[in-house]
Amino acid sequence: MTERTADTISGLFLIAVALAFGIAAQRLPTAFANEFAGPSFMPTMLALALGVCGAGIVIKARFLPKANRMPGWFAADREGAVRIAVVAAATAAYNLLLEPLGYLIVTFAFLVFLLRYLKVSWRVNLAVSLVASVGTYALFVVWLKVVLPMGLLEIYF
Amino acid sequence: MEMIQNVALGFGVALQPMNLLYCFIGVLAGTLIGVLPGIGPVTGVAILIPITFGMDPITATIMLAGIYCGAMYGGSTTSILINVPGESASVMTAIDGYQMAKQGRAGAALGMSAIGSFVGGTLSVIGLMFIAPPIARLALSFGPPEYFALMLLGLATLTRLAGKSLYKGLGMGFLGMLIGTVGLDPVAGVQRFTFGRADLLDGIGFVSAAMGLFALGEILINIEGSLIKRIFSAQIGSLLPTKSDWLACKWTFVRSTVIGFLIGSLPGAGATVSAFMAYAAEKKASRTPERFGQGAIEGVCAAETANNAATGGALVPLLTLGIPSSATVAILMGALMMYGLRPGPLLLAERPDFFWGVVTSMYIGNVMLLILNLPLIGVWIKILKVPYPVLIPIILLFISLGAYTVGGSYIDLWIMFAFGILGYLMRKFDYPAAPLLLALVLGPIMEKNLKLSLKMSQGSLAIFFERPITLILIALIVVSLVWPLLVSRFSKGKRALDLPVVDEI
Repeated sequence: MTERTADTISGLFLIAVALAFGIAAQRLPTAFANEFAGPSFMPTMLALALGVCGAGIVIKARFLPKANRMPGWFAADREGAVRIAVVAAATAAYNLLLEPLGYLIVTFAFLVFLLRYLKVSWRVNLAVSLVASVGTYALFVVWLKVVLPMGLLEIYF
Repeated sequence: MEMIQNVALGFGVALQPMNLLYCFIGVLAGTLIGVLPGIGPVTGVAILIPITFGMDPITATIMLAGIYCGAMYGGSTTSILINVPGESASVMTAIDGYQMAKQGRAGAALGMSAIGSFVGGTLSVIGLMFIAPPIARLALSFGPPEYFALMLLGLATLTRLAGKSLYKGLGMGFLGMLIGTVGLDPVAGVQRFTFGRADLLDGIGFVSAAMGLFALGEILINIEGSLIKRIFSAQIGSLLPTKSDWLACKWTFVRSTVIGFLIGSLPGAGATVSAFMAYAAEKKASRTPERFGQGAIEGVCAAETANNAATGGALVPLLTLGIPSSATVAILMGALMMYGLRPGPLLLAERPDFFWGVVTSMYIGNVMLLILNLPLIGVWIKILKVPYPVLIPIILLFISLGAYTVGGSYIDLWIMFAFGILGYLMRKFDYPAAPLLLALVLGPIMEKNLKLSLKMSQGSLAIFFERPITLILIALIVVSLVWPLLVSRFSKGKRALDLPVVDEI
């Protein structure tokens, strides 16, 4: 991935975001109770500014030497990309399952899964998962009296 | 004298057993966070905010301030021992510190960095004590236009320092402010971009956003590469620097403290830039600059003294004007707002116990850190031996928990996730994260001030050019944005000032 392509892509993305916000902002009232800058003022101005910045990035990308590679992009790092996808998916799964299944179950499963995936030995894996799940439960629910979803275990708590 | 009374009041608050205990917990946790690569002070403070629920605001702030100071101490340990800075403010320490370790002088480097941190931290707290009250008094005459301009200056300085591309920095700033408009309009109360969801009425929580951007993003980037970290298991040697070390550094302490404090107090610059500037100044002032980079103890001393001096300096704009000067301080400010305190000039007047209590406890915290750090180095080294793969899931758990408990709602988990992906992409595409976070926190406040200003002026923008202080601030904004361009144009032959990318301060 050359610096040029990367900047062009990201610049265009920013322009797209700016357009999205800008268009959505037009649906907001322009003035409210004889205010001089209504609810739509700031988002519109900001969207404009963001669009300009995005355009600036795209234009500047045109002047970058073609050969410059993006720092930090590894050429053929399939393994790394898979690791990221798995960790991201695990985090998303945690979010989805937290309320239906409850904190203790989901946390324990999450930790066991990730530790296994990251090749930690079973003994350390189970020990850490158990201590972390129960420990954080004790810290947050018992001591700090925070409400965490109990899900399937609700009948016991 | 008034100062003595205030300090006495402060110690009266800081020496209460509860506050002492939480100061201790804070500095310990902070050092641990500084030692662990992969979590920096931004994430560390954000993660520990849930623990402060139900605590007295003063106690909570004492703990968070302790974490901030502690992280500056802890980061140097990994910099020196394994050339991996625990957080970005310790990048400069690694340059000479690691060289010293390779030469068998790790102990002296560690010792000098602890002492330098203590000197910088303590003197900057004293500076804070003297400088804050007059500034707060001046700020009482600030109105909405001045606040708006000041916050704009903070954002401008931060974007300027945040990497080589001005457009990218500014873009992230504007994006942050745009995201900050989600929720209720600050003046009219109209819903914006909430898609009718009740849980978005309060906007996008900055804690969840910060944890996503800095913690999850960092983890995703780190796991992309190899997970093996080199451990340096060498002789630490004596922890006391030699007499010649002391002689070499005697002016370093003074120079670096002043530089650290001043730069730390600039909105937009923080501990990382302070360390860099102090290092550069020390190198310039030295008679043997070629030693820098090969294990010059003055380099270690300068960087560490400055990054701790910046902690006191960074609190000046926050506690007197209510303006966060860096990402970490932005989180602190958010925390204060959550406790119901409004940082600003009125805070000093209405709650002197808060200001003086926190400031004196920072002094106590620095003493604790000095006493703790040297004996505990063995413990920190053992902790470093914990393999990164074991830490990752635990960190992920804590940031998810933090997002859920602080935000109070399910959607905060998804905000954290979305910002994590965004943070990863930003690092990949070389966009700075700190401006986004600062803008997210400042944006709503800036909008309120802008609207109030326009109301005062009946819709005319001229109000920003009619008031003297605002005019000066706007001039500074223009200067800060334009100056680097001018510098590069007029000094084509000389090396450009290559500031490190300030991602987390």
